[in-house]
Amino acid sequence: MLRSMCNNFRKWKSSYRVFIVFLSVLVFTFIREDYLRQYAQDVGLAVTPYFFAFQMDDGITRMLFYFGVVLLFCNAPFMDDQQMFVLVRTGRLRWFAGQLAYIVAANLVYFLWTALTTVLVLIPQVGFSTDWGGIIRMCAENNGLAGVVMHKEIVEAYTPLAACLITYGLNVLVGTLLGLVVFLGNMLGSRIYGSAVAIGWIVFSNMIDVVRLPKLRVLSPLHWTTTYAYLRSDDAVPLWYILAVEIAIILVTGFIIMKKSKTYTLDAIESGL
Amino acid sequence: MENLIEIQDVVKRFGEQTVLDHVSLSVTPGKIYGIIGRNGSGKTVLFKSICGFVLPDAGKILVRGKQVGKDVDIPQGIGIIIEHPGFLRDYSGFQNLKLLARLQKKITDEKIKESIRLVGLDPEDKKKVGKFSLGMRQRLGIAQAIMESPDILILDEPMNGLDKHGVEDMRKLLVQLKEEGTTILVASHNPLDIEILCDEVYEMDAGAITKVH
Repeated sequence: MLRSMCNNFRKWKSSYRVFIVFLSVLVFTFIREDYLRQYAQDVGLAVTPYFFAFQMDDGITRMLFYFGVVLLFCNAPFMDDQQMFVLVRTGRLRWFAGQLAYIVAANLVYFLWTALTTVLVLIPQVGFSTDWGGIIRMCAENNGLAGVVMHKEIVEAYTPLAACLITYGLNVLVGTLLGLVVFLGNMLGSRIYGSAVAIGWIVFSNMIDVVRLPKLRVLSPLHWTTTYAYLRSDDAVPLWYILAVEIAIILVTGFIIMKKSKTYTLDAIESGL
Repeated sequence: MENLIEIQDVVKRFGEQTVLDHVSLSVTPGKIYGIIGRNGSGKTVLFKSICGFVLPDAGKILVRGKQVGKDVDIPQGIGIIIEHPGFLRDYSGFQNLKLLARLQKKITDEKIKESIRLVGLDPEDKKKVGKFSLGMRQRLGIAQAIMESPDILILDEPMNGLDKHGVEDMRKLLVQLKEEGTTILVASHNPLDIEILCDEVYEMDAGAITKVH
């Protein structure tokens, strides 16, 4: 199963699609943190590498980064000419389990990259500390300063490492959920079906903010990746609900995929070369 | 002699199109079976069905007495080339085969190298597969199919992209494998390949199969 999973990662090296996704994250983060970088330069202070905790609090960032997730998994179930050689050696169940493991592992890598880019683009204004640091505290005190939204409540209630890890975990869970939706959709319909459903869900999530219907956040997985998910406020979607729904959807879709895998027609949908 | 592969009245449809139309075929060990037919006649789907990639809508396929899709999902001990051999383009031929061999851990590096040599390639060649010619990829595909010494080989257009010498080498190799007891199913556009190599020849047309000789 793990070898089948690793086989997919080996294709990243020669995949323009994956390269574009990862490059887009870097470029977008560079543009988005421009004000913050400038601000840090102007006041002559270093920024601690914890901006990632707040990265998904911005609607456009969320949408673009999750389009990236869809693009990463749009070719699910990742069957190509080379996979036939793998499949004939692993059997269906091990192969499918490997593909599901790949979705989880690819999300771990993808969101690690998004976290890393928030630090990379701030160079040379980055300063390492175990505390939030002056710049983030200033931005949190004056929400919207330097063009970024940071919640004072998060800075006060959480250590930077804890906030970053919670944000990372929530993003990996939602990324996995959307990846599995793409996977299942592609298995049930045509190859475009899963991506269309996932993109529809992402756009719907963003529209909630546009039409200002915060109650619909219970249906919006993208909102479950923000600091609102663990901000202790009355109008926030409870964290227990978020975790329960995410894990339930992941388990149910994973179960359906494994059940469907027994009879699914395994046809190469793209060339392995 | 017990049949190694038994295809019983298999029907497969994709939407409205019937791609396998009541196909029956018995394969006994140690022979080469040839299947000829135009593009879209159903050869590839038949091969994929034997491998368990595509399950029939009706009828059944038994490999070594086990029903594909019921007793076994993908029958083990089958070497395949179906359609275009696909490899990881940034790895050498040997690295590609080693990664595949590690999935089953049945063979040593030496055996992999021996298979690569058998098809006329150099196992020490560091050239990435992305730089291989079509013929070299085809040869590597054959090495991939034979490296674990499967008792069944399923080869869909194995001579694609090979030059005249390559075709002759492959014919010799397939005959040698047959003599060693491997059962081989070959699909080819080229009637000459089939004529020279095969003990039994079948023709597929619009999903139906008929014995030629």
